[in-house]
Amino acid sequence: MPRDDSAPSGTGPAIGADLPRPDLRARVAAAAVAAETRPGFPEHYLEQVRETALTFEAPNPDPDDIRAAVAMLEDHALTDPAVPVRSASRAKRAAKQAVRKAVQFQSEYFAGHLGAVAWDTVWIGTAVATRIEELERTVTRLQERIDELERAAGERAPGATPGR
Amino acid sequence: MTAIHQFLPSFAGRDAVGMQCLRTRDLLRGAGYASEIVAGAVASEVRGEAYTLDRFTEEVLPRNDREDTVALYHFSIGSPFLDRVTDLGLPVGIYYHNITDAHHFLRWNPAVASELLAGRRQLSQLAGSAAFAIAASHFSEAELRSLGFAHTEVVPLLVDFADYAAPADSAVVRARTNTRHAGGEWLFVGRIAPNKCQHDVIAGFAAYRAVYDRDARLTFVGGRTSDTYARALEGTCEHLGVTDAVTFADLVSQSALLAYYKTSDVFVSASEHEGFGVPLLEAMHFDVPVVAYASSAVPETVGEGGLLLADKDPMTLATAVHEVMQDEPLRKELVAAGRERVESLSADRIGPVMLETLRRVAGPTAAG
Repeated sequence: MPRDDSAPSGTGPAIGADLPRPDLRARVAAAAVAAETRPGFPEHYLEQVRETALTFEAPNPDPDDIRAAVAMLEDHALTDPAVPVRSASRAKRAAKQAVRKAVQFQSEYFAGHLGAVAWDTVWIGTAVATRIEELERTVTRLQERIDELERAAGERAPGATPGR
Repeated sequence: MTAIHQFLPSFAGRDAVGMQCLRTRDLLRGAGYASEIVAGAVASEVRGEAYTLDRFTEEVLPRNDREDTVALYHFSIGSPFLDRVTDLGLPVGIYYHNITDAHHFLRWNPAVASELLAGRRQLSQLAGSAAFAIAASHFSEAELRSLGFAHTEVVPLLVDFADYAAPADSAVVRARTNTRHAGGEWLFVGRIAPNKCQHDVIAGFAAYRAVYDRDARLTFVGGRTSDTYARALEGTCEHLGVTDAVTFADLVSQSALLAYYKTSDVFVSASEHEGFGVPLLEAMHFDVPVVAYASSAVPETVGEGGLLLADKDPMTLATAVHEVMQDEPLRKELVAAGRERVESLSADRIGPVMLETLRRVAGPTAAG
């Protein structure tokens, strides 16, 4: 359908448009604040709930962010050998459980090795990131020193154009 | 134009993409176009509904005038199948269902994240050559435009609510009503995937139980896209002490799905990425009030038919649900608004819009 708000499109507000029911949202916000200030409100539990939700926040690193890449690798380094056996079908679940039991010793062996490799890689990644950050700091210091020297050279020779 | 054939990498039949193909095919045939569904992989239960590309090339394409044939490709994931379709030499237009932002999967399934990035690259490569591009929502259309698609249209998904008139699974209804107590029944339907943010629903639910309703229960219906994320959700339920009140019902039959809708009090979505959001409409169809975080295409799907939230702090979600549960006039108002919304997006209303759009972008039938 064309991008015409008057067209009988049936689609809702375009992106960025104000959300409907602002009064109801304001009422909800006020009620939430009121609930949180009532005596007996489970403050500590709510803090725990909020902290738990935050742990799920999706990383959105820049492609050149080495530390973020290492953090993600670290997240995956805990290799879980227990394959999920959930299924809506009882027969499938039973079959999966049987297979998991049969290959458990093998899975654990591989998971152990894979985990070790992952942790070693995290170690290398951390070391590389640390070295690169050190080098970046050194380059910044050197650049600052060059700028200082250029400024000084310019002051010693008035009228001369400082070059690099 | 005499033929508009639809192509997709994998035809599962009853999912949102599969249903869209089936309904669009029926529309096109009804309007006098030749129209087939062609897929890279076809699920066994819908084998009679679709062609493989080889069979299509041998049996169907020779019967069509190539000058008068268009390929409508359903784009929801990157796939080498697209290259095979473009190799046919037909003009290719797309219906864009949406590709989830990869960053949601980086932590849980890097391989999936990589596939999603590849999909977006493939989509952008198509920008210059696509004959037309139709998006399921304005949100998705904006993505197409940002990738360089110049001529875009928006036609929502074709949802035929007549399909929901079938009887609900009585065993599920019985099980849920027999064990039902005074507490509210929360429901979310959608794949267990990090972009759907089921963790935020659990957080809101935990707050709701702690502050408003000790006996409330929450059910998630939907298969697992990410096992690692699903396990983390289970761990979170345990950590917050709500394991006994939360059910992960997995992928269920259509009749069981109807039963879950019919036995729920509120549909709660905290999703951060929806290209459209069919379950939101399903909930409205079953008079289940919708409380949803207003992300991506959610606001344009829900419209005035539910309560949209600008943030999803656990207390905001919990209090919003509490207001809906305890304020009967508000509940009735939301249900009525939901019905209107469903009506405005019904297949009867959107079908002709889809047909008209396809006529405009692909060309009318030879008969006019």
